[in-house]
Amino acid sequence: MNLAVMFAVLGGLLVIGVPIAYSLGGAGIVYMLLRDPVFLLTVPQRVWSGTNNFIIIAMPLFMLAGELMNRSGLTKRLMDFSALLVRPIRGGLGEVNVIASMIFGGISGSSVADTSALGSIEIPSMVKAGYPLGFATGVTVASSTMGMIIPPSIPMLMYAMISGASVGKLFLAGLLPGVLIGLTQFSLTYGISKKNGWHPKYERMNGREMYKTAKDGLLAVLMPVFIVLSVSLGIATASESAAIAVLYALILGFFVYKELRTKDLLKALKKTAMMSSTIMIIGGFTMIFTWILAVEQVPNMIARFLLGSGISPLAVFIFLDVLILFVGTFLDVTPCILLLVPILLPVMKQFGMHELQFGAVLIVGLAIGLVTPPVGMCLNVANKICGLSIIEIFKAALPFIICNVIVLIVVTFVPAVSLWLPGLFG
Amino acid sequence: MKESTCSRILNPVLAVMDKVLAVFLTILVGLMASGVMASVFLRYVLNIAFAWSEELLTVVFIATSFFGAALGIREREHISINFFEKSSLKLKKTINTIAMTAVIAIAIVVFIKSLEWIQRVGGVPSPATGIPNGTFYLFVPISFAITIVYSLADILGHFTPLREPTTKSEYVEYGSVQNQTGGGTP
Repeated sequence: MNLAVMFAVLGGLLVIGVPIAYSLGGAGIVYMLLRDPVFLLTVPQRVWSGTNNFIIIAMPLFMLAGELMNRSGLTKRLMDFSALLVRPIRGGLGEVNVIASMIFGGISGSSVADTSALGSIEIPSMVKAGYPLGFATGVTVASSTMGMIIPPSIPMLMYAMISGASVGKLFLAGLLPGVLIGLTQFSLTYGISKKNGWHPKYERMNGREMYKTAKDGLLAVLMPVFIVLSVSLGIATASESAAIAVLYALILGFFVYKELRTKDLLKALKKTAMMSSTIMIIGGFTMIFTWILAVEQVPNMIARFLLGSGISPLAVFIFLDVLILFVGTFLDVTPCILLLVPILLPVMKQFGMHELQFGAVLIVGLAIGLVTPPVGMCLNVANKICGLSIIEIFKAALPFIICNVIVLIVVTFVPAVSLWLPGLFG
Repeated sequence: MKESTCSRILNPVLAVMDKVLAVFLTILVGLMASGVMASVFLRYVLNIAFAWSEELLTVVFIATSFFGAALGIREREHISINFFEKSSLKLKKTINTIAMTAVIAIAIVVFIKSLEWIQRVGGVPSPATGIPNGTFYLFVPISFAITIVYSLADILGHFTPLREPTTKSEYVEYGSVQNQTGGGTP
């Protein structure tokens, strides 16, 4: 009964627009008042413990590194570099778009940042080159989903915080699914562009130009490569590698690209504080919620029900995918992770799913939620850039989103896709 | 709306609070980044590791989270779902007033309970630095007191002209969801 009231209060607070963090806190407080007001004393302690984690310092530092790279004129350089990569197959801006998103994902760790930063340059450039606006926007939003899957990934850090899984192994678990999405989207874009004759005629590029473009791009690509390798091989912790990434971004921005100003640095610091704190306060209040779920033994109840009902793991995994897609459609990524993991992870473990595989399934599934209405953040950002309605953008992105759904199914039913690389690195 | 005595008093107070918090947060993130960089240098180059540095950096991170969340109320950076975006202005104001009242109620509970919590366990010294934990725990009541002030200002803003914060980061408006700069939206 208390639990039902708590969920009703949570729903009510969310509907009237109370920030998700405070909605979780409010619902938890109501539960405690009903159960035993003595528990209220644990509220500040739990919120505190939710933010008291040295590993998660990596999150604001990755955000800061991404912000600095963004303000250093990275976007244009990445597009030029991606164009250089697709030259041998005579690919056009559609393919450049997908490749740039794959690389940018490794730098920002965020899909919304990807749509916002790359989209504002890619969409107008593609339209200018003769691509239809719908196609240009569709590829942009769909390919941006890789931002939160390809490591380093901010949602993966959140998942690591809740599940206790190794950050390095989680990064590796997300790498192959992210690359698979990139490859399928790339192939689809290539096929559609070739069929419609959208591929450009390339002018000759001199060696000097080619060298400069390759150098600028490779310098940016080095950052995610270093992060993934250093964390996965256990050379540095996630926080340490994030700090080195910040230093690297500063050197690149100030001394190599020479486009970063002190003013930009201060803005990036402030923006990082706001982005990180709005996530962390949700994390803090979720601890109250997680504690209540544990006290009420909700995950055990669900697991017992599912095991007792004789449902096959196959059906449970299909249900998992549908649930993630459904919840991701209505809720933002962070609250989804913070709410779903404490309930679903113990259940899925009982059905034989590894925590790394579950993390990969969750992140791949929730990334799709970013490009589905009504709460598709990437759709909303793209809508501001191109002016098309959210439904029009969704329709244009649908063929590419199907690539994501296929990869989600593969990740769910083929454990090796997410577990092979972490296993390889011990 | 005409300027009232209330807005003449509140506007400069809010402006100072916004500025102080924004500068404080900028410094905190700068400290956090440079602190972790320094500890990496000490650990890998000079082979020195200080147990207290990890603890202090975590405290800086916690402070960023609590004070950033408080300023987030003022700058409307928190992630929330807005079902009433297309409703009339009057309905939107009413719903927002109810929502902010709920935030105030929640913040009051956390504020009061955090003082009790500090009284009970605040004297325990932290393991690495030896500083009483209560010193750090003070972030909770202070930040939630600021949350209460900002939430009240948000409600008052419906009745008297209050200026928007000048400290707000540049951001992209995300349609039906009140969330800026991808705040929490990876």
